[in-house]
Amino acid sequence: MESDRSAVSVTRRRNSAQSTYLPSFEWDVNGGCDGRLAAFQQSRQSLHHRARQVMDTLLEGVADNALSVLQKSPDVNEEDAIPTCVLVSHEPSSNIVILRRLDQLNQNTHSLLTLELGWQDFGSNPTLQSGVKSIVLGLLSKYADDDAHKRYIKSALNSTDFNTIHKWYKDSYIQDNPPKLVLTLRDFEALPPPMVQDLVSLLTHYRKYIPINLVLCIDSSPAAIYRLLPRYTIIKLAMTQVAAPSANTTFEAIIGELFFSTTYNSPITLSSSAFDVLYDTFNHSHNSFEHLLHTLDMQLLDHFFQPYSIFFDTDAVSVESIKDDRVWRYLLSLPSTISYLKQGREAVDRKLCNELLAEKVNSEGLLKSLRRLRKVFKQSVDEENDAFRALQHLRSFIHSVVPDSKDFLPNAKAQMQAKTHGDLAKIVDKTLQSVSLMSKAQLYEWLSGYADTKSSMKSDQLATKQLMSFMDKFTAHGEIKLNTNEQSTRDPDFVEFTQTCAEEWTQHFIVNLVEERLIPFEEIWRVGVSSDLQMLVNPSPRHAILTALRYPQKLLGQHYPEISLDEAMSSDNAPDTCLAFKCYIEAARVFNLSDWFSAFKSVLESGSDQSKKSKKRKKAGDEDEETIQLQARFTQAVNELDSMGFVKKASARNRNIVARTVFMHVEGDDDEKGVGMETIAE
Amino acid sequence: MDFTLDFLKQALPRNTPFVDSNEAYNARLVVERVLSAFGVDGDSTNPIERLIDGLSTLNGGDSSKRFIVISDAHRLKSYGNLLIALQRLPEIINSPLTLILTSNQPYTTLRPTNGLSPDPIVVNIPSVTHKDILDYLILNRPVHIGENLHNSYLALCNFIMSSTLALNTQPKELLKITHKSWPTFIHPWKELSARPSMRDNDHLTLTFSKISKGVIQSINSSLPDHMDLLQASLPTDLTRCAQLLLIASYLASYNPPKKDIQMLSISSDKRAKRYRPRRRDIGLSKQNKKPAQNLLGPKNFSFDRWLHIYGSLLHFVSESTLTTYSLNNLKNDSRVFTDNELGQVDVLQNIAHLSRIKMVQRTCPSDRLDGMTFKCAIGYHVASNLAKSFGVKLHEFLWDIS
Repeated sequence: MESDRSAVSVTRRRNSAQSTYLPSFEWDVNGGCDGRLAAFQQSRQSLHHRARQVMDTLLEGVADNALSVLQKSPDVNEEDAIPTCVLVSHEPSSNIVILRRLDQLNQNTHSLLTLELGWQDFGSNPTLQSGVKSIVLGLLSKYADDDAHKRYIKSALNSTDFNTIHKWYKDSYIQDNPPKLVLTLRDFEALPPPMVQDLVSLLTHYRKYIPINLVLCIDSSPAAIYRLLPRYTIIKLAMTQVAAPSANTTFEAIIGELFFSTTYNSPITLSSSAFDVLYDTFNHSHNSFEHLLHTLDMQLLDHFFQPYSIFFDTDAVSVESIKDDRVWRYLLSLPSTISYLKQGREAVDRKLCNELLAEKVNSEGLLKSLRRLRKVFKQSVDEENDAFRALQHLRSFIHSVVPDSKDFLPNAKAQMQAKTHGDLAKIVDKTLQSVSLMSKAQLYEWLSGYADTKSSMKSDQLATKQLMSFMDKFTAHGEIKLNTNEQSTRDPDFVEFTQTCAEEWTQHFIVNLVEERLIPFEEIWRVGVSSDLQMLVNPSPRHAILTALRYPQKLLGQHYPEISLDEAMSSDNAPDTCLAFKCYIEAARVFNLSDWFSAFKSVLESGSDQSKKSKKRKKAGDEDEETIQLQARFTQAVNELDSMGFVKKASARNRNIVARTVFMHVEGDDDEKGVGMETIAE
Repeated sequence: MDFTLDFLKQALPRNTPFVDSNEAYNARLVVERVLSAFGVDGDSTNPIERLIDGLSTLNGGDSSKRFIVISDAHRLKSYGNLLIALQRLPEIINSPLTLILTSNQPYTTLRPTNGLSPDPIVVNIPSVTHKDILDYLILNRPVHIGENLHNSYLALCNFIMSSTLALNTQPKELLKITHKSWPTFIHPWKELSARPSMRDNDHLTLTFSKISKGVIQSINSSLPDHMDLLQASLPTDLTRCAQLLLIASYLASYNPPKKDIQMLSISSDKRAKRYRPRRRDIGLSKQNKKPAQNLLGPKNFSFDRWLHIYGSLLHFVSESTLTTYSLNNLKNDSRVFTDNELGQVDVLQNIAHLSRIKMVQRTCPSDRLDGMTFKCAIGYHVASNLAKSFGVKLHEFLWDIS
């Protein structure tokens, strides 16, 4: 029952939100909706732009590697196997980014003739012929002028003949240093292996005359090549592997740059549940960069659907545009505001408290404090991110120095998770324990890592300060002083120094990362996500259909106010399809259509019991007509179930007999668990 | 094979068409190559008619013998009726013409139905003997090898021959390997002008065999051992859902379907389900003579079974690897959980990905959507390593531990 409700709750939530707080006052006052939309668009674009930038910089090096591999590939005379660059990306979109970058690089140098072949270039039913055709036509239309194009393609036969390329290449590049021909197979795994074999042996034949290179784009791992191609084909390829960073690195880089960066001003921050959704969908089911962005979009949509998000762009909102006082009161009922007011700490601004608590809310004053609070929020996020970056730096430094530190220090992703959940205390504690154990050289190296960046952020300042005092105490003429017995015993001064150092950092981290900070109205700028979002990102369609069929009131109740959500619908106003389905789940594996119909009829008739007596008085002709009507309704319902894949033809001869495809668990029936066929889910 | 073609190229007249059926991948292109070599053209759109039409114009004039050489001829099988037409060409165009087909496969693989074409004369090209290969390797040694190093080169050739010959008899490939490994082989030998003694050669061979394990392995990459190595390194790139699906597929392939309930049920009665017949009992009773499934290889399993094994596996894996969504579901009601989780779009998407990269083989025709069957394509070590990363022990779920 519980999950049945949640399956349809995706749409219901919208409605319940409306019933609880939306219609109680006029929200869309003077373009509030437009404001929200604009804010959504703007934040979305900003995030996407940044994410793509991060991707580009992340994969730049890979593209450079690939280009140099292609440029250095041996000439025709030296090697008769096809030099092949295997681009391995661990998530689907990086290869596209790499190829785009490669294309840009190549436009500067012009040393390669490139052609990209996707899965679609081999035709809907992939054949070598259509592949060769798109190679020939693609190359000629890209690099040859119209004249030559006509000269080489006289008949349809020429365009499917690789020899055309050979002739054209020989004629047009007679100089000493001919350009290399690079063919890129974009969807290597999607192409049928026998066809790739044929293509490779065809290219091998021409490799004797033309410097052909291949680029194979692989989404999973280099082992895919060995799995898909026989050894006989593999020895015709001289492979070099160029691998993109792993999916996890991509995730860390993108999320880190979007939400935990000090250089990028993200329009929005993540709450713990929002981060969890991102983290889960990426790690558990779908590790692609595009999918990550889509999930983020969904989260933004979800966020900007909330009524308070009209205040997102505080500068654009004016007092006049919001007429209803209840808007302001709603704002005061946000959880963060309430807990802020309840907190009796020193950090709480008394004046603000009084302002907020004033019985008659002065909307102008509130808007003013809202603007102020936004600034405070931004600053606190910046400080947090800065401290977090410092912590990350320290972590990676410790990882590089202490070999088995991965056991007690979690990786970047786990740290991000801990940060959004607010339980960094343990991590900070463990990290700083190792600071006090560092040697002089290590401490120097670590601290100077911060000083290089030369920013005015707090943690850099702290690091610079410590570095100065370190230099004062322990260096002479730019070199670190080592006591004679430094190898066996630690310098007591230095021990003291490291301890103060660690304490200072602990203080810094505790203030900025561990301590909970509350800023009223922060929900406005922090993406919070209801748990239903995961349903939207990763839906379970089969379950939703079954629920809707079994409990139609749960689906229909959202759209028709007269249907109550919790009461079962009586059979005379439930949809026909649901009635037919009800009979269906009571039937055996194979059953007769006419039996089904009689069951269907009896359900309908029992529903309209009170009119039975009057029916009896009716003439026979009326009865017939009623049956015909019922038959029509039944046929339609069965057809509907059929198109959803619930019914399968059981025998070739007798069309009356059908088989069930869906078996499910019915309440009170405990012998075996429901087994569902894949038909619906697909 | 290559040598035969080389020889033919020298021996036959210059206008003989040499058609590589790898390159001319359909009948039209084969005809095109043949006709352009003889410098004639026929007019018809049907390739066979065009061939006959074109060649019959040749008839006049000289009556010298003509040849057509087609290599990798086994591919002609899929070119329609071209082979029959080619074989009957002398009769049809009424002029002497010899067709030479070369292939790695026996003629029987492409023989048309009885009587459609005359049987050719089958010439068996003997495989090159070891000594000949060695001679070939020595003859084609890299030019920069000095006179003094000939013996070491010979040692290298011997070594490579002995380590790869069981699988590889292509002289050209061996030559390539030898050329590539020569620099590494001779690297420890510092005095390039001196002549290494017999013992030095042995020594070099020994050092080389130590470094070159990888090289030899890549040569013999078709060995099953090596595939396992490749696979073992692989699954970390996959999503956790896909990894779990892989474990499920392994269990589905190696467990008897009837024992699924016993091994994977979520019942509280742990002892009952952990009971397995001991090996000794089986040995004594002699009723059960079936060898272990590990020795028989993976079995086919149905899509549904796979999904449900996956679903019940989810209950056993440690909590840190599950999504918050699944965890919530699991806490609410473990009965509906499986149902909920299995229908998810991402599970299906991961299945599609796995079967696409052949981590799981699909054993039914690709257009069949109802009742699909699969087969596991990973080994025991991969599966157990994966299971370890999820905090479960694979052998707890395996029926037959041997």
